[in-house]
Amino acid sequence: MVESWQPRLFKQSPPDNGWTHNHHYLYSLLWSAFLDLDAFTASRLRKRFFPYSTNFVVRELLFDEYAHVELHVPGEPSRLRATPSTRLDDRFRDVALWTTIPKLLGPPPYRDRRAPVRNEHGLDDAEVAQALGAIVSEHFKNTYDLEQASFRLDPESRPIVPPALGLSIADARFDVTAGRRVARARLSAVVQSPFRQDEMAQLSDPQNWTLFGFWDPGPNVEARQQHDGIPMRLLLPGGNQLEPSKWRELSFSYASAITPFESRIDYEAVERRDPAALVLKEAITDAIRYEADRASNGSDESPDARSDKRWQWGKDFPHIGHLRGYLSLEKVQGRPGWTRFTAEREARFESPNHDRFRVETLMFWLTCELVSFAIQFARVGPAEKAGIP
Amino acid sequence: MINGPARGGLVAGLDEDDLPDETALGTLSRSQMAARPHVLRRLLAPIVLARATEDRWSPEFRQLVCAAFNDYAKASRPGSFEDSLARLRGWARSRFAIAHGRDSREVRAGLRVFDPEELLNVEPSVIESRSGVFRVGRRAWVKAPLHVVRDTINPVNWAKLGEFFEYVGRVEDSVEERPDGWSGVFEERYVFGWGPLKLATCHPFLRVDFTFDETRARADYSLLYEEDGLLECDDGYLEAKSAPGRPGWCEYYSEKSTQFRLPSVNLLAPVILAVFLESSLSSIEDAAYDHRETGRA
Repeated sequence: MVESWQPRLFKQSPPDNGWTHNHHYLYSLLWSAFLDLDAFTASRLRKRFFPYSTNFVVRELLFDEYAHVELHVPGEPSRLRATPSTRLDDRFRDVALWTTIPKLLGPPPYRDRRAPVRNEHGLDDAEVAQALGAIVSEHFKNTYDLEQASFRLDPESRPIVPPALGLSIADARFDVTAGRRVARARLSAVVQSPFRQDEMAQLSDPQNWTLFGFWDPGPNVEARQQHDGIPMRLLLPGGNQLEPSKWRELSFSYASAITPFESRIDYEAVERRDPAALVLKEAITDAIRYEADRASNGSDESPDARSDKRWQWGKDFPHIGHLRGYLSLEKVQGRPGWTRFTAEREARFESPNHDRFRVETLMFWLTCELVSFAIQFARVGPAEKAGIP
Repeated sequence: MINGPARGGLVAGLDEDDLPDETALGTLSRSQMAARPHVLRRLLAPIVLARATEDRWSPEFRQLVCAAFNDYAKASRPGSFEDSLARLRGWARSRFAIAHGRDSREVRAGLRVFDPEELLNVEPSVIESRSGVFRVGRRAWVKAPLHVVRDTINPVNWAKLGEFFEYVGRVEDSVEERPDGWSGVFEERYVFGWGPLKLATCHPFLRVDFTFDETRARADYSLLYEEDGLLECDDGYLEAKSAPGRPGWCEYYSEKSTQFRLPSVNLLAPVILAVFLESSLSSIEDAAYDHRETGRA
């Protein structure tokens, strides 16, 4: 394992005994930035792995620089006040803010009639979004000299990663296929970093996926050489508490190859524990009752409903049906000093919230992996070394 | 660019003419007419295909057509121009006058069996233009081991790719050597011209990466800057791979994108690119020929 490959998600790496609640909270905020949720919709989702609304995400991410943001977005007090040392890396924070801009500055979506028109501070959700959008635009203007008017709001037409972030990422593009229960996303980008067999190519060993933060490869054992069913843990985002069961135990099978031109890993993973039939039946019964109650009760749910354990997806229930995909790093033809990063992942989720946002969750993971890769491997090129302008 | 005597042959009576300047500009010098038959056939093929019904040809063109079949004539008396032209037309039709598509690959595969090219099997060039940048690509199969082609495409040996290179060399303090190749900054000086006419001189610095393994070798390059600001874009790559199912053959592909800052010069970019690729292909063929001759010796 490459010892120096610490997770890049946070300004300071998590302690040796693992993530804390606040690390997971920030991870959930980062995930929520990709979901484009309003407050009412977010409140109606299941308690376990609950996501945050876009307005709340922006409030938390800008908490340190723009204290007045809190005035716009009422609700739970910020958890970040108590833990000033636990913060997202600035580049991840800004990627998340960039992702929220179409939701903030775009035309307001169709408003659910059940949603309250104004919150307890007398603010309309759309007005709050516009105000936050102005603050986010000001943030990018002050920090990177980026004018939002230079970019289209259409998410498919915007760069995935904001330019001028210093990550040397170009030509980033998502291709997504979504089915009834399965989604597949492929992210392709070129990163200005020379392809190195002895370093960068080691990402074809899943033991080095500690770089991505939310993968935990477990101990280094000889069984890895068999490339079949090694233990691997994946952290699911959502909620503000890190419970051990949020780390899903996977049986991870993979095949990898490294050449001077390309390194590639193909993998497939399923959850290690098969739930007992009784537990699964109970989960299905619970889900049916939940949906029936929602359908018959047309009024708003109170926030207290979150405390009702009936809404929880049980910890022992399966959360990930299957995961498969590949990660390829290759030398770019005709562009020396650049590496093409291509990651594809297909997933079927059993956890309801992740199943509902299966496309967004895949896009979130792949984007985080790309940014982690770029942060780790940005290099000075030979021209700069030779002092050639 | 076609220069030099026919391979292995003795050239006589082809000293440079003392032609007046105005005559020299419009004609080929005789030293340029004595060239490799393979190269001549490829260069002349598009002309005879495009002018299928033409029956008026200049004396210089007649000499080129005859020279294109010197190797066919061997010890016997060289054939007449009409006979050589008929051979050339048939040769060109069978290789290039086929609609590009799946069937054309099968036709070419059949040709390789019944009428094989000696050392080179070339596909037509592909030329594209986008926003003023011209890109040319060409693929060929070379009858030579991979290491022979690999050494030719290594940028340190690019001087052999054509006589238009006045100078090529690495900027040594920028070079990073690796077991599987090297990367660094590369300096070139090359001249665009035709006979005595020099159109332009370029002095670019390129960022280069050369990588190889047992089955593939590739040289990637992109423009860092050009001393006189003549170039906006100059990047591409040369790649050689072992041809699957064809032991002893390599697949060679070369692609180059160029844009000159001066619009008038940029109009000539497709010609310059096509000639560059043709010249580099000839050098690959030379290397294959030398390897074969060395093996026979």
